[in-house]
Amino acid sequence: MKMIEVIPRKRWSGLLATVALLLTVAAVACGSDDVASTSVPAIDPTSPAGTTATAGPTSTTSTETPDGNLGSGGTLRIAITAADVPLTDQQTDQGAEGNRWAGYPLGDGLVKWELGQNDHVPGFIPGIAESWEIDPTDPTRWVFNLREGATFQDGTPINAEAVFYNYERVLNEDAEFYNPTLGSGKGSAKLAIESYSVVDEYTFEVFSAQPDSFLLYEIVAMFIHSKEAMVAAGSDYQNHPYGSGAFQFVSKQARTQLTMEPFPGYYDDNARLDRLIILPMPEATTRLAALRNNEVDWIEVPPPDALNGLESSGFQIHMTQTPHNWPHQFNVNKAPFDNKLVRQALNYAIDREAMCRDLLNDVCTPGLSFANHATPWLGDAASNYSYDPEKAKALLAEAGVTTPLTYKVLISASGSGQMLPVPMNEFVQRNLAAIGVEMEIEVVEWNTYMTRIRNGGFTTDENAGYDAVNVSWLSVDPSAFIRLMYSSSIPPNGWNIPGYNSPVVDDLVDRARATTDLDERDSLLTQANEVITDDAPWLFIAHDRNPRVLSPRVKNYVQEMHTYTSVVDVWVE
Amino acid sequence: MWSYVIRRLLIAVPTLLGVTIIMFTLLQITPGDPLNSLLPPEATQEEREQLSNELGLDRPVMVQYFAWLGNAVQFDFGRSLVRKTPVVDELWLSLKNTFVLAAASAGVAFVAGVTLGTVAAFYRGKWPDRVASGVAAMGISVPNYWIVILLITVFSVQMSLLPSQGMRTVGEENSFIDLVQHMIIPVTGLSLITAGILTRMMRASVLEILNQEFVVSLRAKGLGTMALTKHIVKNSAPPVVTLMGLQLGNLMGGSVLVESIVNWPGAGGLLNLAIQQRDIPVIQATVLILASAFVFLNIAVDILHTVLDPRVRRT
Repeated sequence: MKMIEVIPRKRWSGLLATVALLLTVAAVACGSDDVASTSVPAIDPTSPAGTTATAGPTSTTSTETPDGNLGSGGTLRIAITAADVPLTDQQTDQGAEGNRWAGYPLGDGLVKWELGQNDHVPGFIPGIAESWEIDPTDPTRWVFNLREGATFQDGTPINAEAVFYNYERVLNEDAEFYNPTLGSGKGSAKLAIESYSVVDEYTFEVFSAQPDSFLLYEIVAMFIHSKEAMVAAGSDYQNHPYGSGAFQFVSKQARTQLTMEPFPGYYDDNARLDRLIILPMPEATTRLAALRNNEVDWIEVPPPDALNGLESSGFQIHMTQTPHNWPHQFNVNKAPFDNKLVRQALNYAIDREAMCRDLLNDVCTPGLSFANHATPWLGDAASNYSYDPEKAKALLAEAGVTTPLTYKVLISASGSGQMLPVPMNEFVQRNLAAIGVEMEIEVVEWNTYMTRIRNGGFTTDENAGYDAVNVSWLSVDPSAFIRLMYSSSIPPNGWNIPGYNSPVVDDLVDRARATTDLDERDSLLTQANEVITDDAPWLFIAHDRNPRVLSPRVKNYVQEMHTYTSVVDVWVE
Repeated sequence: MWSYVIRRLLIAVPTLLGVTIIMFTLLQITPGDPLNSLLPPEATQEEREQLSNELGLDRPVMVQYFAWLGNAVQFDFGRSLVRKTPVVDELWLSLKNTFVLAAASAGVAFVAGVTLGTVAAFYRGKWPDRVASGVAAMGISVPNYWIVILLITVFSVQMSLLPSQGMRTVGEENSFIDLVQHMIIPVTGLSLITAGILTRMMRASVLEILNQEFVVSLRAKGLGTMALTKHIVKNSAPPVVTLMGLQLGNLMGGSVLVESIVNWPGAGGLLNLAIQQRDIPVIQATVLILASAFVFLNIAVDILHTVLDPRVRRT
């Protein structure tokens, strides 16, 4: 008797094949989600010396070896977030990333940052200049005494004439060798520096436009390169620069790599590495794969969910408090956000600890003030706000606001310093919903976003209907108080996006800038920070901890409480 | 024949001109500003105006376009707004890099597609057909960047057999083996869709030929399988070759996604970066070159078609 086939036999194989295929695809798809974050057996990286790695203790702090045990050598390959190799000229491009990996390593300024330590916020230490003072008779005159005997990377002597040439090349638009590309990024230096001149072979003076306690923040970013080399090379200088920093240029290839080696004639401690290679790798997952496959030894900004897996595989996770700030900027001229109580109310509604811990795997710290722990100007400001939804509701009621209150925010999809805008804003949205504030999120592409905000902040028709935007800031220096909070700095004349106007803050900042006493400056700015934090022109949310992940073979790295970092003391086994 | 070619080339000119006008217009109306990529946020309004003036960005749009066009026809594509280096230099390098991937992917896809398609057609209905067709379907439907991530996870991260990113290892710029190792994963990803499409196309084409009377007669006359296969493949080739030409054009465009994931310094990545930075000269030149490549490839494929299939006459 013939069996009645429910499903004809010849269809079985096709059906089975399809089901098998779907199952495979599903299994692989679900499985591969977790690959980045589950522990993978520690791979056996082969280093030039051929040693195997030990899955040593992981730490989120420094990996300093005991004194007297300092090693040297090795090639350090760093994967950075920039999409291209930074410009290797006297000044660089690609923003902070460019300065960090090309600007500072290749060239020193008259002063430099005190990097290589993490017990205090870095201040300034002697660079090309071994000492400096402000003329007691003229507070705008700064005299820098250069080191004698120091040389550039081409062997030519570092002297005041060379410094003068460097300054002219980017600050004096009338100089015949003025470089407009580099000079166009030096706007704040041009405003702060009135003039400069050679006093004698090893003495250089700078006149600030006004008594200016912020001046060194401009000076530190004026890198000094070899005058003779720049004169000889002309417009081709970026292809073989000779700077004054701890590292000298070896080679570069667009979008691929920048190779440097220690400068043996450096006036300060020589770098310990044999070679430093910078590799642009804009995708976070690409950096992660490259690190795990031992193609690089150090990655910037890993994907936050990968951190647990990396730690259990023996990689070193480094992160610390940095001056970075990730807030909302309120439209302080639009009701009801023109009422301080409402702005403060929202500042009590955010569960910052949960966001940093749960959503971002601790790559941020709660943002409670304008200037944070990584600056000298925090004061008591961080004790203002906390997670207190009841207090938030009470403040809203006190302000006479009826809920639900609409809160329309314009954010970017991505961008430098913006971290993960969409998930973080969605988190904020949930927190605010709990106090009766309905946050509407609108997402825009980064370049478009910055252009739009730059055009006039909330004063343009395009932006006037929004209650807030979400622009992050790296405030390394005190001029941030001017750029971001001074009443006249409304875009496009600055980045006081909220349109915040506080005569008290204006006055404190003016006085802080005009004093020659740095302690007094810091104390005035601290007061300004406290006033700003209380006035809440921003919804303070988070500070990025600037995470980076290193192979266990990278030794003696310490992450500074700073935007910039040094690899001079580092070696690779 | 030659008049045909010349006519096609002449028509290409307004086509390409149209492409440049559309691109330029799109760039002007897109919000965003190249100055954001050139100046730090702290730059003053004066500085922005000054730089805008130096770069010619404040001239009327028509003036900017014709100035660009005037130079472009002399193959001077200007300088990148962001890097200040001549566009031609970095574009040439990027296109070469993408061409390496595109040619390899096209080659792999072609061999795989023709083979699998022929096998599928010959064994129609039986398991080789199902397997080949299944693989083809998967190739077309699975996103190529996802396959690439999967391959990296398995072969680079887990097994350390292949590099996970880049075009070469630093210091091994002259090693062919190093290049091939870096190519394996992206080429696999990029060739999948093309291989899938070609398999299906070839299968249909071969089936159609197999049904024709001349095949039966050749068989009846005792022609061996190999010789017969040669005839069949040659007859099935034209539609496949046409498709191949179009796919090569696609591949030359550079899969931005795959190039981004494996950090390949090619034209796709260059275009992606230039768009984010609003680097107008780079975008214009890249789009023009890619459009031209596509147009010329089409002409070449049409000519090749007539060579392979004498029934088709181009007049």
